[in-house]
Amino acid sequence: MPAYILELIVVGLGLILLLLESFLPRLGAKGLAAIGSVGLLVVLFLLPSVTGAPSESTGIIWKFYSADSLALFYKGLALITTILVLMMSVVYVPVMQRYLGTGGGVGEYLILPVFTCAGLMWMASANDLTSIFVSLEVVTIGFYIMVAYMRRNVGSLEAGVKYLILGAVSTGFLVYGIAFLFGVTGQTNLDVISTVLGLLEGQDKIILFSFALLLVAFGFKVAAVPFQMWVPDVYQGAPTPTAAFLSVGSKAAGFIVLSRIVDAFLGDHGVQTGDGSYQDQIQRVLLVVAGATILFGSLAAIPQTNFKRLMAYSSISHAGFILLALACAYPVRMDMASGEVVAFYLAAYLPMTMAAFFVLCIVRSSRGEEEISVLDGLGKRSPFLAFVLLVSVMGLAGIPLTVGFLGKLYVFQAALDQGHFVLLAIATLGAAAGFYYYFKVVRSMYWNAPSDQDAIAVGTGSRVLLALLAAAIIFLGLNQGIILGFLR
Amino acid sequence: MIIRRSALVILMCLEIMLSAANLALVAFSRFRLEAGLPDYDGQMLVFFVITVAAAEVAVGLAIVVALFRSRRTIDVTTLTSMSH
Repeated sequence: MPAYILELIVVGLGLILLLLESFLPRLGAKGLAAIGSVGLLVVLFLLPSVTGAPSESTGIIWKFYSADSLALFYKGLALITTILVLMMSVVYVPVMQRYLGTGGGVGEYLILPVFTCAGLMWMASANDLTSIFVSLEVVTIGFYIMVAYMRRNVGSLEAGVKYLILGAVSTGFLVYGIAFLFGVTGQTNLDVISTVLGLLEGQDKIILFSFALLLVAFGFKVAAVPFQMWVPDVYQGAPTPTAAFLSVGSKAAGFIVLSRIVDAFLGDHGVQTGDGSYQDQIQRVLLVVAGATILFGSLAAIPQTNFKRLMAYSSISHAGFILLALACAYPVRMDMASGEVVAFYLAAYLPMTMAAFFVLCIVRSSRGEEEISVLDGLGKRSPFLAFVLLVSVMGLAGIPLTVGFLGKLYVFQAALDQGHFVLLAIATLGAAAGFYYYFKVVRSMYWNAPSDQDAIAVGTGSRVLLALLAAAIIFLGLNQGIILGFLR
Repeated sequence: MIIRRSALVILMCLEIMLSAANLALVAFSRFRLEAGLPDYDGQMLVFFVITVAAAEVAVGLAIVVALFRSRRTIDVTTLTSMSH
C-alpha cells in the first residue's frame, strides 16, 4: 500500500465525522472523539506496512511526496499528537461551551484536528515546494479556526486575530522565498534543487536571500527568535488543547520541513566550515538563531505567572535546542545524524508537553483559571495529577532518567562534536534557567497551601492516558533504543 | 500593512503581498524558457497560491466578523487584553 493512502484515509475519516456530526447529533462530543481516535489509531497501526516510492517512477505523485523512514516517523508523531488532542478536547468541552453561546456546537472543534492531522502527515512527506506550501497551509488554516474557536471569549478571538495576521505574513514570506528559489534553480523538487544548487556558481547572494525568506516563514512556524512574538499570546488565548496541538504538532511538522530545506541548501557539496561560502553562512545564521532562541525562551519564562504563557516560553526555548541540533547538521561527524537528533528531541517533547497540557485541561475544567497559582496544593488535593505534572516538568527541565534528559544530551553531544562552545555555554545557561522556572510549578504543587481542599475529578479514560504518558516519559528515558529503533 | 489599524485593511494588504509573490513566480517561469515554452512548474504553483489565499481570507474574514460582534471594533491596536 503506497504511503499517501494514509492521508486519504485520514481525510476520509474527517469527512465521515462531519457527516456523523450533522446527521447523528446525539453522538455528542465524546462519540465523535472516540470514533476519530479509533480511526487514527487504525491509521497508526497501518503505518509500518506502507511502502515508499517504487523504483521505476510510475506516478506523478512521487514528484511531490516522499516516504522515507523519517517521514513515517513524523507521521506517527502527528497521529499520536492528534489522538491525544482529541482526548484532551473531550475534557475541555465544558469550558468551551461556556463561550460558544446558543447555536454554537463543539462538533467541528473535534473534527478539525483530524483534517489538520492529514496536513501534518503530508508535511512530513512533502519534498516539493508546491506540496510544502499546500500542506503547510492546510495545517495553518485549520489552526486559525481552532485558535479562535471560543468566539465569545475575548482572549481566544484576540489570539485568533494575532495568529491570523502573523501567520498570513509568514505565508507571504514563504511564497516569496519559494519564488526566488524557483527563480534561481528553475526547479520545485527539493532533491533536484539540491543538485542544481551544488552546480551553481556566483549566485550566493540570491541563494542566501531566498533562504532568509524561507527561514522567516519556518522560524514563525517553529517559534524561533525573532519570529516568536505571537507564541505567548496565542498559547494563552487559544483553547488549551489547541495550544498543546500547536506546541507539538505544528512545531514537529515545521521542523521536518525546515530540516528538509536546510538539507537541500547545505547538501553534501563538500564545502569546509569557515570558508565563507553560502553554506557556511547558512549554518552560522542557524547557530545565531538557535542561541538567541534558547536565551530568549529561557530568560523570558522566568517571571511568568500564567501556566500557558510559561509553557509558551518553554516551547520557544525547546525550539532553540532543536534548532541547535539542526545547525549541527553539517558536516556530520557523529554516529547520529542531525535529523535523528531533531526527531528524537521532538519525540521526547511530545509526551512531556502533552501530559502538562492534559493536566492543565483537567484543572481548568474544574477551576476557571490557568494561573500557576491554581496548582497550589495540588499534591494534597489530587496526588495523581500532581505526580503526572511533576514527571512532565522534570522531563521538560531535562532531569536524568527522563526522556527529556536524553533529548538534551544528544543536542549537547552534537554541539560538542562540532566545537560550538559558545552555543554550548548558552544551552547550559538555558537548561539551568529551565530548572528554575519549572521548579516554580513543583513548588506551587507541593509547598504552597491549597486554596480549597476538594479533589479534582478525573475520568477513568483521562487517568489511563495520563498514566501512560508519565510511564512513557520515564520508560523511554531509560531505554533510548526504542525511539531510535522506530527511526531506523 | 504595518501602519494600518483596521484588521480588514491588513487582510487586504496580505493579499497584495501574496499577489506580489505570484507575480514574481510567473515572471521567473516566463523567463526560464524550455524549448520555447515557459516553465509551467512555477505557474502551477501560482494557482495553488491563489486558491489557498482565497481560503485563508475566507477564514480571516470570519474571524474579523466574530471580533467585530464581540467588541464592536476591528481596530487591532485595541487587542491588548493579555499580560506581557
